Amino acid sequence: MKLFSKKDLIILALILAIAGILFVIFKNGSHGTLYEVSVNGKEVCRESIYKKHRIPLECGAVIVCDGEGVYFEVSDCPDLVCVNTGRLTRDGEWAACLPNEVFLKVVSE
Amino acid sequence: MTRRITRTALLFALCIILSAVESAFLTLPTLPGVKLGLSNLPVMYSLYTVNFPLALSLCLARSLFAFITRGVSAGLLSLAGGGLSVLLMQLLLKARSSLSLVSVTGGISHNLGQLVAVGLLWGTSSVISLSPILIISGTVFGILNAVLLKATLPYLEKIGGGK
Repeated sequence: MKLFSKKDLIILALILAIAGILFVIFKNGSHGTLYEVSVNGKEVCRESIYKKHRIPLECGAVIVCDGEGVYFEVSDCPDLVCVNTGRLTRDGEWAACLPNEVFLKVVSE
Repeated sequence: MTRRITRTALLFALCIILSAVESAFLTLPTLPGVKLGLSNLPVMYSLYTVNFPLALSLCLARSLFAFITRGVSAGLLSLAGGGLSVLLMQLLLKARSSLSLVSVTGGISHNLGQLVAVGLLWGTSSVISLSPILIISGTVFGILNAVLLKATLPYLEKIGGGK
């Protein structure tokens, strides 16, 4: 059983190139104007990002819009990936809480 | 028969312990979904030294465990990632690829399988924007896992024995 072979390098370079291209394609755009919150795949809220707002969700998570960006303030999930994702401002940025199935996304009109 | 059951149980226990250790000490909280994937080690070990059915049953057992302890969506995600990665790893193994390539493919396909499952589950395509990070982390940690497996294989063989 070989750990490495020569052709691995070519394949690795290819993989990195693909990741680079995808990164450029998915680079987030300008400041978003709206944000959407969906729970369990259903949209529960769609608001302007410029309006201050605090949304406590049934599952225990709280989403806060500070007038320029949105973020998960608290959540009762064990991993806290949603809270650690931080503040979202740009079009296309998103944060998700997998255990509670909450999805937060910034969009533009 | 008893030997096979015991071996499967031991390897499954190893999967669970490795992922518990990983989530307790080795997580990067700032990057969603980026994981070391240590619990892939017993699966790769099974593929290399035993057979495909054992590796697949480890994956299924892992998904069932995720389903019981963390709910339906965690179970489905585990199944999507684990299933896809074990299938692709088996294909590459048959094509006589190096250990690193098998491991890297396993890592990337595990990540992407889960990503697609999340997208389908939530009916959103925006999660795809995570794919570059997940491809790179799958590559880096895949190589790391290959090195780890190579290093630990002699000891595992001593315990597990052949077919």
